[in-house]
Amino acid sequence: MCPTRKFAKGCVKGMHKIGLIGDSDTIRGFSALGLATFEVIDRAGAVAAVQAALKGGFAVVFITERIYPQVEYLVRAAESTLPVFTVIPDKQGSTGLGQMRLRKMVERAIGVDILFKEEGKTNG
Amino acid sequence: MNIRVNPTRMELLRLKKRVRVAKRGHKLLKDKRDELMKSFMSLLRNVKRLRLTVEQQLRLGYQSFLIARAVMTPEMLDEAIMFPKQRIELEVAQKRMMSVTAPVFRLRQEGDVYAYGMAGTSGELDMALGIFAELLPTLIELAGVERALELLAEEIERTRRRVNALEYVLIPTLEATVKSIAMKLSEQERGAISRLMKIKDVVRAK
Repeated sequence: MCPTRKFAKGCVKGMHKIGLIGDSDTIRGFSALGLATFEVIDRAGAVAAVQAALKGGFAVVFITERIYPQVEYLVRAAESTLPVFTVIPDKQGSTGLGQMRLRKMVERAIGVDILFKEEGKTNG
Repeated sequence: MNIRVNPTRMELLRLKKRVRVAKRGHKLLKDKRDELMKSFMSLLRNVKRLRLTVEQQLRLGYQSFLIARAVMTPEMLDEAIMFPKQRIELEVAQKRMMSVTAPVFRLRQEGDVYAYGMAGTSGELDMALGIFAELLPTLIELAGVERALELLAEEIERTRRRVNALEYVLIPTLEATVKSIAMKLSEQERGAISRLMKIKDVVRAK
């Protein structure tokens, strides 16, 4: 696991686990693949799962869109370190959060003006 | 807006040098910003495409899985997937582009996804697991490039702020100061010349 910021040299090499935080139906299919799964039922469980994922030597942790908003503050605090949190849709389908996050990144990088152009491109 | 400095020739030279350095830095940062923007755009297209595939494939996978759950008894299903035969690990490397360090993941898979016998499990489960297994490398790739995109976005924001700070604050201030010092110096010079002329007149009149 990489405890320091920005994947400091010397501690990136080596093997890491992949995690998945989601509801029971979503995680079951993936647990067969060998992912370490965290089943989440309520908010407290979500927080505990993220905290466990932060310490467990993960490189990538997938988290379902319905759970992500509850733990966003935790994930944001751990930005720019491993693990990388990636939002995926759960069994009920996408809420569009993944796309929203992309859009926010564009807004941040380019500024508002070109964002609208970008939106126009995706809409039309 | 000026910096308060002594209007001396020394200061003038010093400030002129600073203006030159600031302009050069501004140009370099601007180039960096443009280049960052270019890589951001191409990465963005990539991420968009990956995200779309992931979302579509996941929907298919979940559908098959739900059907499998419906046709199998819960105990059977749990039994079938409880002990994964496959072991996966990620190798993490880092890639630097334009002073942004992003992680690159490589997937190491061992063993088989189907950790159960044919009897007692439905074909839908095979299908669902097949879809998930096929999707996993894409998911990992998405995680990597999305993080890279995020980091790039941050870097672009930072660079843009610096470019703007140089362009709209530092360089104009320095130039204004240079100008005011130059004006003060030439005013002094004019004062000295007229004083000399006056003194010469006085001396000649004697």
